[in-house]
Amino acid sequence: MAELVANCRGLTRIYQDDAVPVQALVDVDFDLAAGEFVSLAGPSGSGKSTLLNLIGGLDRPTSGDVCIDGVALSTLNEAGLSDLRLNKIGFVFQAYNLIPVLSARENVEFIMQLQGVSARKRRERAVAMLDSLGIGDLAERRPGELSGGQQQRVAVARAIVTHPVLLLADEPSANLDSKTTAELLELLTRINREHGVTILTATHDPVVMGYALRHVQLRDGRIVSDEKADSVAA
Amino acid sequence: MSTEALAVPRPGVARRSAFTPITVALAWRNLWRSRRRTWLTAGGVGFSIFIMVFAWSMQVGTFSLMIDNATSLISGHLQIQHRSFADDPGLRNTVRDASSLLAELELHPEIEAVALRAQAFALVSGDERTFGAQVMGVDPIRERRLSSLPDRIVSGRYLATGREAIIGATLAVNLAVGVGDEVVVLGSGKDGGIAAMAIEIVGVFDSGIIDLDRSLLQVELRAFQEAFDLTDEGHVLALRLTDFERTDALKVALQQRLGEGLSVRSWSELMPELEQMVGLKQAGTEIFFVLLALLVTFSVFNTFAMTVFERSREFGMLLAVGMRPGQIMLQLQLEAALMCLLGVALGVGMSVLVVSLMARTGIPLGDVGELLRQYHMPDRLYPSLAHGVLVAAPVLMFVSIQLAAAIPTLRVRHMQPATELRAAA
Repeated sequence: MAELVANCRGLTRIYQDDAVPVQALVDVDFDLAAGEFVSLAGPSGSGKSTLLNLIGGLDRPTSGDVCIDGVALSTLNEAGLSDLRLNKIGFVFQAYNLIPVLSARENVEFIMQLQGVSARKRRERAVAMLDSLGIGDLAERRPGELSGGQQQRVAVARAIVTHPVLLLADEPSANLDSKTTAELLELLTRINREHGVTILTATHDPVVMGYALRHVQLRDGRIVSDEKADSVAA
Repeated sequence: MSTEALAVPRPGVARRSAFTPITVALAWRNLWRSRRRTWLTAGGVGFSIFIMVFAWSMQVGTFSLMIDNATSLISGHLQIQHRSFADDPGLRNTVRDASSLLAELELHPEIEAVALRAQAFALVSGDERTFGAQVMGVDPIRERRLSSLPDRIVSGRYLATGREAIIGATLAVNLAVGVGDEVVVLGSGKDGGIAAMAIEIVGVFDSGIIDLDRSLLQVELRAFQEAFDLTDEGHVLALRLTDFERTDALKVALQQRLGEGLSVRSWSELMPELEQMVGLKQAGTEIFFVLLALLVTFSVFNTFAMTVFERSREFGMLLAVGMRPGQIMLQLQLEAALMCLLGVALGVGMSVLVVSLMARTGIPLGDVGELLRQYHMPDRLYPSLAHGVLVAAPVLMFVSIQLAAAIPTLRVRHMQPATELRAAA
């Protein structure tokens, strides 16, 4: 059996908004094996983003625990969680969330700077990464000068340049047209297949689900189905 | 499209670096995300620094003028006296071998002028009236180099040699004497005998200092020494320095050189009320500076409160990708520091330019200038660029701004990445 990258047991997350408790996730057990490409699907409010946030260490569960690469997140303090996110998890957000005043290259370099990678190596790796994602010629442009698809590629470059064990993508195609979505998904598929990066993506988009190897359906905070894909698009 | 770059081995344990060229570039560029706000805040900082430097320079210019005016009239910057003279200004407490000491002091490179004086209280009589007065024996040639009193003669002329005197305007009125009249001075000599001299008034002075004009009679030093049984001695060696800022340093040096028999006293000891007034005005100005810094602090606080509010999604993303709250706070403090440096550059540049220009041309005082001229003061005020405040004002601003930025920045410590990203979605 493949090594587990993420292992969730009894995950429950209750939000206490306006004194009315909202159960976003209820007693979820979920495993993610190394090299998987999994889509989390479900209607709005089903708990996709909540599960993604808990696995990514962006939020803490009300009960239950998450293990990433063998480390129980409940044992980590805030600094430990920061280090884990920096070194083991890559994030791709729906709104790209690039730093607007830095160029594409600098956005990619910035995360390596946090890791203490030397300036020369940072630059080499950032340029190589942008080249490999087909946007090397746009390296010195700022996010405002790039299209949505180009920005999302920069975001992917930033997420994977640190060589994470897990790439989390929250609605990565939400702001992209169908052609750009297809290009992005082909890129993610290659990253997954050729380099074994485990990918977990929350999505509404059937096209995105078509590229995943495993589909997990959530409804009302519970997993209602978890099955291997019969076939994949790429 | 390939992903070879991913083939690089995964790094080991992360080392975290606070400031790198990217961090500094990021901070600098972030400042210009809201150009107007940055210019307004940095302009406020710069203007405050300009106000501080300009106000202090004006004050230094004014104080220099006041001190120069006060010390040049009679006291000088330093006085050498018998060690008991300050407490007991009697005729016996003299500086002996005054000529050799005078000659030695005249060779000192930091002493511009030096003059020996002898003084005593005596009765001064005109034809009809008699008043008590301070009679001062002076060397007219040396006195002209040291004192501005010779320039304040309003009638007649200043002393030359022989048995002649100048008299304060009020004392002249009280005695009902004028230029060409003779007065008789009657006092006690050093040895207890009667000291008496009849001298002609050759000039009347109006110093603008009531006490002097009411009580001072100056005579030639030798005439005084003869009348009061003094030999090569006097009561005061008044010194005018080339740079009055060196007063305290030279006082210490001279005191060490002269030993315990003589006392070296500075203008601030001779005129403590002048120093107290300067100190009081400076304290008022310092309070004004603190209030100004407080005002800028509020402005910077507002700027950074807005910054933290507007960029909460960005901070959520930075936290999500592994940046620690402390690193984001440092980043914001760096932005505050750069904004402060921008303001400092503006403020210091403007201050140096304006103050240097005005130090050359002077600031006309209008009607007040007319009044000042009557008191032998210039009718223009010359600010003197205060180098100390050129450092102190930016340091005060820097500290204030860092504190002001730190308060809203503390909010980052409580940010949860998921909450900030969700709120912004």
